[in-house]
Amino acid sequence: MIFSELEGIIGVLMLASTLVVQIRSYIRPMTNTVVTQSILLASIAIIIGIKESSIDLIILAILIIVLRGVLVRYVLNRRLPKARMFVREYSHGVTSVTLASVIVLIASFLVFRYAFYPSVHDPLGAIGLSILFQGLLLISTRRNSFAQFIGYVEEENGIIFLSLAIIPLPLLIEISVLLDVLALVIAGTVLVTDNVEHTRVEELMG
Amino acid sequence: MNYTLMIIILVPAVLSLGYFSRHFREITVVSGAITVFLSLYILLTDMRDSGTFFVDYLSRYLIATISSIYLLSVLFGLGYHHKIGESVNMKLHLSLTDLFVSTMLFSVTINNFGLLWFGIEATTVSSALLLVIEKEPLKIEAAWRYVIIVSAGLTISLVSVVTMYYAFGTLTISRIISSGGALSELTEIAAGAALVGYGTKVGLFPMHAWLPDAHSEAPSEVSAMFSGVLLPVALYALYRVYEATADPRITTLYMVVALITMVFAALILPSQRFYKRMFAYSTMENMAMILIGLLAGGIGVTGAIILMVSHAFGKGGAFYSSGNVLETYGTKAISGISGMRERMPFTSVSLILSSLAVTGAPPFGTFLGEFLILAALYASGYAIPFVLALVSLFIAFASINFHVSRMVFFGRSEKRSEPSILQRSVAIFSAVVPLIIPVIFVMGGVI
Repeated sequence: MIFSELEGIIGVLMLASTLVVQIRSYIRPMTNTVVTQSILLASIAIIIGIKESSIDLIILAILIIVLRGVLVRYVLNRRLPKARMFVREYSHGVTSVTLASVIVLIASFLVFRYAFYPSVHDPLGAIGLSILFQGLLLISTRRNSFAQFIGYVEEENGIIFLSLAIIPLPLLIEISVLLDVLALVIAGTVLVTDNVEHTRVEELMG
Repeated sequence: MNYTLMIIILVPAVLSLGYFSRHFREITVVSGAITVFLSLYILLTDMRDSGTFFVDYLSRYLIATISSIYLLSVLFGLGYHHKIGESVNMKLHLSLTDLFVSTMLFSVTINNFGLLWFGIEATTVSSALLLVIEKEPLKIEAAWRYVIIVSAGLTISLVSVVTMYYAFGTLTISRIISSGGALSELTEIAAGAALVGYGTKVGLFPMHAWLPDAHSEAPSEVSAMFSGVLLPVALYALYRVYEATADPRITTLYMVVALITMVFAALILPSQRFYKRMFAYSTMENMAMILIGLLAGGIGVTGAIILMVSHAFGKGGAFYSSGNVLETYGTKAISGISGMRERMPFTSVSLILSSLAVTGAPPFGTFLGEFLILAALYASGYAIPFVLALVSLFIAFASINFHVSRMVFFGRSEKRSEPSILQRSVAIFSAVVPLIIPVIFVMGGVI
């Protein structure tokens, strides 16, 4: 019982962190929030690992902390321009993004309720699905490379949460997913130039 | 454990360490040659496996196609990038090409849905930097769009891995497919998530936004690999999920998306202003047609395989020729090219042949493939898909060949300048292969 309550509380905190990320403008606090979210994800893995006496999930939790909590944060912060505290994205649609975020949240709960719940009979996975969709929303509403990367990491956090809530994948697969994200973040940061805002380009239209 | 399969995956991966050698070019060519030799061995010995690896007719043809386009692209790239010389960029480029091929070969042979997802995502990681050998802002923007759109999409296909694991209790591809599958709402979710996720990488509408950008801005030999083999590899992943989860509703969903993609590509092709983007949209149309063939079943599957192999070489020829045109004229705009037949007679021939090949003109293999797919649609009673596919194919044929004819036959040019003989030879060879593919398939008893 206590385990289920802890899972629920941490899940809600993770969901709250995605909503915080949606409305942030400054990139560094945004990175820190998603790192916190990754550590909360690791906590969930530890709790489920203890509950089910699974050493695989404990290993997974350690890997999440090392790869997402430490390495991804390090790589992203290293690429931020010098005045990293003050790197921000100027957004003109805070109200509409907040509204879209709430709509996506409700929609993802409904999708889970009617598509997944009749088969899996556990509501916790709804949080994972919501985080996944919030990550997608972040990618599609921002033009800043770092914000889009953070959206991608959020998406991956959401899918791992979903799998932990429904059925934990074999450790080999989970490790592959984690390493893939790290490799992609490293490869992607090579593409982040000084101009981190993406706009319409004539040659890339039509 | 099948050692031949393991070796064919490891050879390019290990030889990517040629990065540290002075002879990195020769090492990459040797890697390509060994891979082609092994792939032909796998194809001709009818190799099958369902242990660690899963190899059937589809994988065998894909392995042979990946290896061939790999070797051709490396040879073309050595000529195309001669200006870069022995810079770190060129070393890194060839080394990443090796890794990219290794991840594709891994994807089409591994017998696990989770590791298949990993393989497909790894193709994105290894190929992302191939787009930016020349660090121009436009190329970096295209590479960024490729990385972020494809990765975001592929994450959704991970939902299909999770739901299949819950539904079947295993991720072993051969076991799930041979069991016939216990279909449920969850397997339908798996099929839908795979369609969105892997469909992004295949370039299905409306998830295709990255495709024309990446294809038009990548170096030409990379565009050839993307179009000829990377997209079919993603399509392979999608088809495996379909095989495991197919029910009539899912078949209808996949068919509708494939048809919309074909119609969209056909409608946008006439207004194209840049020839590499035009060939990218042609790839969308061909991938959708291959998917339709796989969904139609029976003779449609044979047609899909013939189309896939022929298209890979034909589109390779189209992009290699485009690279030669770009090197000579310095523009990607169709309106900026004129008098090609006088200025670049060899490239004109390879460009015309390859554009005829990718648009399904007889007697190219693409024609035979499309004919078999249409026949399968007709025989299965898919009347509306049959008509839509036929009309789309006609529009695409007319649009692409009109644009190419304009480039080749309109205008005059006094001076003559062609790129290196290596580049021209690779382009013409690649364009000619789709002509002999029907003969190979008939002689091999496939048809």
